[in-house]
Amino acid sequence: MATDPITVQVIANGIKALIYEMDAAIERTSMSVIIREQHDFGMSLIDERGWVISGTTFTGGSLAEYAAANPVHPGDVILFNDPYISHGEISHLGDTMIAVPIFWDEKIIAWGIAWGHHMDMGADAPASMPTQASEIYHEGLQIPPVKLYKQGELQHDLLAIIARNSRTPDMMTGDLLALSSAGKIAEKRVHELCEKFGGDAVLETFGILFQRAHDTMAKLIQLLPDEEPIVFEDYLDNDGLNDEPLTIKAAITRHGDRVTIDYTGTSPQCEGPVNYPINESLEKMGLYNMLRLAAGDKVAIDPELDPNQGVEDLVDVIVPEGSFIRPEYPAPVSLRHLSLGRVDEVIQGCLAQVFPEVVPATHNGSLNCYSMLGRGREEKDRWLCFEVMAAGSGGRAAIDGIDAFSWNTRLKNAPAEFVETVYPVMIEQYSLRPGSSGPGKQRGGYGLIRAIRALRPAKLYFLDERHKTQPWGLYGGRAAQPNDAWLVRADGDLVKLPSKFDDLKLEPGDMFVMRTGGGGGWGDPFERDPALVVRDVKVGLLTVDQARERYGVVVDADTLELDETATTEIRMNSEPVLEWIDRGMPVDSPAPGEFRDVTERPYPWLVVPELPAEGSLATA
Amino acid sequence: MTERTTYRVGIDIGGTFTDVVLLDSKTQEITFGKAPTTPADRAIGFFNGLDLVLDASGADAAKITEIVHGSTVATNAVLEEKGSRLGLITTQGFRDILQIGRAYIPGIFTNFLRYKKPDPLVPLERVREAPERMSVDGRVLRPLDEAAVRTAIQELLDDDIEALAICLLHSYVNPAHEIRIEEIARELSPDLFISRSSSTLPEYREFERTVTTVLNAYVMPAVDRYLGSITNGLKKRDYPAELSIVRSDAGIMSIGAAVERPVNTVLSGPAGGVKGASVIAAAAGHPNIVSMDMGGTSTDVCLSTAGEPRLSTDAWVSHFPIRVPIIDITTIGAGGGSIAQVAPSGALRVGPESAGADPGPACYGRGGAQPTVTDANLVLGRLPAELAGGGVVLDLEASRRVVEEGVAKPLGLTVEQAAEGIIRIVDENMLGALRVVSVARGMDPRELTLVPFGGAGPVHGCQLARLAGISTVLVPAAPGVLSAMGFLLADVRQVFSRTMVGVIGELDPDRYNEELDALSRQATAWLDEEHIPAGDRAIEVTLDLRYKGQAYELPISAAIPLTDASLTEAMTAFHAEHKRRYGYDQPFTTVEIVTLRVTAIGELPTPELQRHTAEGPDAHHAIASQTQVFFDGAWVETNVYERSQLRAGNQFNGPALVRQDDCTTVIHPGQVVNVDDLLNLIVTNEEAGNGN
Repeated sequence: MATDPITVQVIANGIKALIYEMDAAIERTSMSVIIREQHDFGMSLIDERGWVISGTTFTGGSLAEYAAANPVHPGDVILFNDPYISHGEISHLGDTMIAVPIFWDEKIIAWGIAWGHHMDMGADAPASMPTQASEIYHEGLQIPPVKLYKQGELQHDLLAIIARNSRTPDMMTGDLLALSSAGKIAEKRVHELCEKFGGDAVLETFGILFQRAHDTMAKLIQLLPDEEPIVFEDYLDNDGLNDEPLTIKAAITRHGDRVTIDYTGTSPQCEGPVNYPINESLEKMGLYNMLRLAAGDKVAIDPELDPNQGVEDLVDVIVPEGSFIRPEYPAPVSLRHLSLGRVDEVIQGCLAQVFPEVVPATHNGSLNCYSMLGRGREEKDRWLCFEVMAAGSGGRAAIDGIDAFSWNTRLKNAPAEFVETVYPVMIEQYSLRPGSSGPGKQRGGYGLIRAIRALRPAKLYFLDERHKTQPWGLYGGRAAQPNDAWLVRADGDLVKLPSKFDDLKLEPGDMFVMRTGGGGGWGDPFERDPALVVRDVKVGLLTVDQARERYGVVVDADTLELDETATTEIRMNSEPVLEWIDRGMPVDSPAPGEFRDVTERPYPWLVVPELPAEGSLATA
Repeated sequence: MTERTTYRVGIDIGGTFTDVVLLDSKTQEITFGKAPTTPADRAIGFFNGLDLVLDASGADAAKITEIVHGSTVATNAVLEEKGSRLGLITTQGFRDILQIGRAYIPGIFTNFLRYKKPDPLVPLERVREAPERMSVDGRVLRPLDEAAVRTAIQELLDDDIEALAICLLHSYVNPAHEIRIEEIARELSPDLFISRSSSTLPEYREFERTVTTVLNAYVMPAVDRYLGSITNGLKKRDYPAELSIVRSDAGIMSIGAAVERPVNTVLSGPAGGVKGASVIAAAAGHPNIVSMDMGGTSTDVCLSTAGEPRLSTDAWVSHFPIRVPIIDITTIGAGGGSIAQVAPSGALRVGPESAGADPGPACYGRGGAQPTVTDANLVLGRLPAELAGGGVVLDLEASRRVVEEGVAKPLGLTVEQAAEGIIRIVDENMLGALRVVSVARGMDPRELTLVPFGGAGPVHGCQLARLAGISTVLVPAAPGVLSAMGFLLADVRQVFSRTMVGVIGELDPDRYNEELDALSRQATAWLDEEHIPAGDRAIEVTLDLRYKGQAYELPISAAIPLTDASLTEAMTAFHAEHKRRYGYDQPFTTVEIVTLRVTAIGELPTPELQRHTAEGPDAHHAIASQTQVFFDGAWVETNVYERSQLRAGNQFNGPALVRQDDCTTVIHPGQVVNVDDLLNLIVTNEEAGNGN
C-alpha cells in the first residue's frame, strides 16, 4: 500500500531532524579537540544494505557484510576503524565508526552511525597520523568490526584495551561513549517513526528518498557533454618518505544516462602514508554533491534534498588496481586525507571546464595539521596539542574566494585563549597572510599565518601538502602562493621545514610558523576593479609593487591613492592570458627529512617580535 | 500589597504592534493596549500606546512609578546593519580576528562553491593592533606601547568613528592594558562610546568575546539616542515614571546599565514573553514548561524549569555569536506566513520562506500568491473569517485557490487534504525542533506543559502537544500581549563572570574565593546603584564545569565560600547533570572549573495575579456560533467559544475554537478544556485524565 505523500514527508523530516539531534549531541559530548572544536566527525542513517539515507555522506556496506556473517542483536553497538576491511568506508585509523543496528519486526531495517577523529589511537605519531609510516602497523590500533556493546552491555574489556593504546585515554573513552549515545538517538527516533506510521511506511520513505536523489542526479548528468571525456590531473608533493610527486588523474565521461569517473593514469601505490583506499560509493555521492551546487540552478531540482546513495546506480567508478588510491594491505594510509582533498580538486578541475560560471579556482590544497607532544617524564609533560589550519579558497566567476577557509567545511579553528589555557604553548600571531591570494578579476581568498611558540620541551609533527606546486587559477586568474612552514629557534635561527615530518625536537621558546596558501584567482586580474586592489593595499594585504605587477594597478606609495592614468596605461598595454588554467611555477621546498637552515626571512613575515617575550617561559 | 494606588507599565515594541500593559498596584487590575509600531521613530508608537492605556484605564500618569520597556533598538540595528561606525583595537598579531572568525563555513563540503562570508562589523581599515601581550595567567609579557596606541586611536578618530571596541588577549584575567587603552581614548575623545571586553564579557575565547564587545559598541550610539528620546519624552510630559529596560535573560536593568551594555538587550522582547509564560504557568501550578511563541515568520521555543526561563551563553544574533546570558530560545523558521511549496523532487516543503506581513498570506488579499500556513488554517475552518477584532476580513476563496494550485494539484490531493498536509508538516517540523530543544537539554517533553502564545501559537499548540506526548497545554488569558505582561514580572538582574580555569582537587579554593568575593562586591555595588532594598536582594553563584579538555561547560550552582567539600558536591552534581543531559558521565575523569558567575538579583514586588472564583463547569453561555472545521480527514461540527465570556471553572470538550481579539485557540477532538482561576485554558488529552 502506498503511503500518502504527506506522511512520507513527515517521516522524511523526522529523519532529517534525528541527524540534527545526533550532530548536536556529538558536538556537545565528545572529548577530543579534533571532534568537538574542529568538527571532524559525521553521522548518518543508513539502510540495511549500508546505503546512506541521510546525513553526512558515509556508506556502510561493510556493516551489511558483518551482519551477514555474525549474529547482531538489538542493543549491540559495532565499532571499527579498519580501512581495508571496510573498503575505505573509514580510510585511516584515527577515525572510528560506531554503528547501532535498528531493528523492527525482528529485522535490521537501518543503522544509526557516527564517526569521529580521535585525538589519538596510538601510532608512531600522535593523532594517529605518522608521516613516516611504511606499514599500517605504524599507524595505530587496527580495530576490525567488533561489539562495543553487546545487547546493551558495555564491553569494558574492549574499551580498556583501546584506552590503554591511546596517548589520550580519557578522550578516547569519552568519544566512544559520546558517539554511541548519538547512534542510539537514531535508533530511538526511527523506532518512534515506525510505531507512529508503521515500519512499511518508514521503509517506503527510505525508497522514495533514494528515488528523489536518483532522479535529481539523472537530470544533473544530462548537463555533461555526451561521450566526451573531461580530463584533469593534479599532483601531490610526495608521500612523506620519498621526494617523488604523485599524480591523480580523472576522466569524467557521460555515456547517455550514466556517467563514469575513471582514475586511470593515477600513480602507483607508494611507500609512504598518502595511499588512499578510495570508496566508490563515496566518490559517487561526492560527484552528486559537486554537481548539485555547480549546476543545481540549471535544472529544476530540490535544493533541500539531502545527499544520499540513491545515485549509486548512475555512476561507474574505475579505480586502477595497484594505484595509490587502491592500495594493498598493509600499505600505510594515515595521511590519506591529503590525497582525498586532491582527488576532490581533480573532480573540481574537471567540472570547472563544464560549469565555469560557478566552479571556483582551487584552494590551498591541504588540511594543514600539526601536533605538539610534550616530552618529559612527568605526567604534566605528556600533553598533546593538535590543530588544523584554514587557508584561502579559490576565486569564482562572480565572487572573490573565501579568506580563512577550510575545504573540510565543518572545521572550526581553536581559539588561541583555549589552546593557551590547555597546553603550554603561546599563539604569538594569528592573521591573514598578505600577498597569498591568487590574483584574478575575482581574487582567491587569503591564507593565514599562525605562529605557535612551545613553552616547554616538545616534539613537533607536521602533515601538509602543496608546498611544491601552486594552487591553480582559472580563466585568466593566476596561481596563488602555496603553503609553507618555518621554525624559529629561541635564539632566532630560522629553519625552512619540509611539508611532512615527525619527531622534531622543540626547546622552550622555539616557534613554529605556518603560512597557509591562498586560493587561485578567477578571471584576468587586469580586469579587477582598481578600487578593490587599492583597498587591499591600504589594509596591508598587498604591497604597492604587487598591485602593479599582479593587477596592473598603480598606487602612489605615499598617499596609497590610485593613479588612474598610469593604471589605464599599463592595463591597455597588457597581454591577455590565453591558457584556461594557470598552475604557476614549481616551488622549491625541502625534501622529506631536509631541515634547511636559512637566514633571510620570507615575505610576509611576522608582525610580532620573534624572540620570546621576557617571562613567557617563566611558569611553563 | 501597597496602600496607595500606583501603576506599573510594560511596553513591548514588536514588528507590527506596540503592546502596552498597565497594572494597578492596588486592585491588581490589568489594562491592555495595542498601538501600531512606528518604525521610523519607535518612540511615537511608545507614547501612543501609553496614551491608549491611560485613556482606557483612566489612570493618572503622575502615579506611574515604573515603565518596563523591551527595547528592540539593539536588535534592529544589528539585523538592519545600521549600527555605529566603529573602530577595534586588538592585541598585536591578531588584527584579522573578525575576518578569520573560527574559519567556519556552514553546510556541506561543497558549499564553498557559492558561500560568501558575511562582512565583519568592523572593516580592516578601522582595526588597529596594540603592541602588548598578557600571558594566560595574567602576567605582562610585553608592556603596552602607549604611544603607538595613542596614534592608532587618533587615526581612528580622524576616520570619524563614533564608537570604539577594545579586546585584547587574556584581558579576562588581567584587564590592565584594556583599561589603560580606554583611558587614553577618553583623554582623546571624552564623548566616544567605548566597549571594553573585560567589562562586557570577561570570559575566554577571543573571537566570541571580540564579537560580543564589537556588537556592544556597534549598537551603543543607537540605544543611547533612542533611550534619550524616550527619557526626554517622559520628562516633557512631566511623567515621574522611572524607565527600566528588559534584558535578554529576562531580568531588567536601569537605563544607565542599558546604555553601557546594550548587547544585553538583543532579545529583550522575546525574553519578556518567556518570562510571562513561566510566571503565569508557575502560578497555575505548572513550573516546568516549554513556551512556544509563534508569529508570522518564525516560532521561538524555550524551556523554563521551576518557574524560571533557562539561560544560555551560546546564542547567535544574525550571524554573530554573542556570549552574554540570554534566554535559551531556539527559533524555527515556521510561522503563520510560512510558504508551502512542492519541490521538483515531489517533496512538500513548508518554510523557511515566509510571505511575512507584506504581502502576507493570500487570504489577506494583498497580493500573496503562494499558499501559507495561515491559508491552510483558513481552508480547514480553523480561523475565523475576521481577524483582530474585525479589522481584517480574510478571503477564504483566495486561500482555497492557492492551496489548490500550489499543493493539491501537484500532489493529487483534495484542497482539504493538501491544507491538512501543510499543517501536519509544520507541526511535525516544530516537533523536531522541540525535541532538539528539550532532549538536547536533558528534558523529556512529556514532563512539560506547553504554553503557546503569539498570534499563531494557540492555533497549533494543542496538536503539537499531542504529537510530542505532552499531556497538558496552558493557553494564557492574553496570549497576544504576553511579552509586555512578562516585563512586569521580571527581576532586576546582572551577571558578573570571570574565566579562571582550574582542576578541582588541585586548585586552591582560597584564590577562587577571593575572586568570588570580588565578583560579589561588584554585584552588591550594582544592586546599590539600582536602589534595591536589602531585603529584596539575592546573589547566586554558579560554576561552569567541564571534563578536563572538553570545550563545553555546564553551569552548576555552588555554595560559597568554596571548600573541598562544596567543590566535591559541585563535582557530583556535574556528573549527574552530564549524565542527565548527554546520557553518560565519566566519574573518574578530572573535572575543571572554567568560569565563575555571580548573579545579582533584585526581586521586585511582582503583581499578585488576579484569581477568579469558580463558577461551575457549564460553558454554554460562551458559545458564540457553530462552524465546520476539518479535523483528521473530515469536516466536523465545531463550537466557537468567545474567550471573554469564559469563566473560571468552565469546562468543555473539543473539537472547539476559542476566539479572542488577537488569536484563536484550536482544540482538537478528544481534548478537554478547563478554565482555571487565572482564566488560563488548560487543555488536556482525554486519555490523560479530566482537567487539572
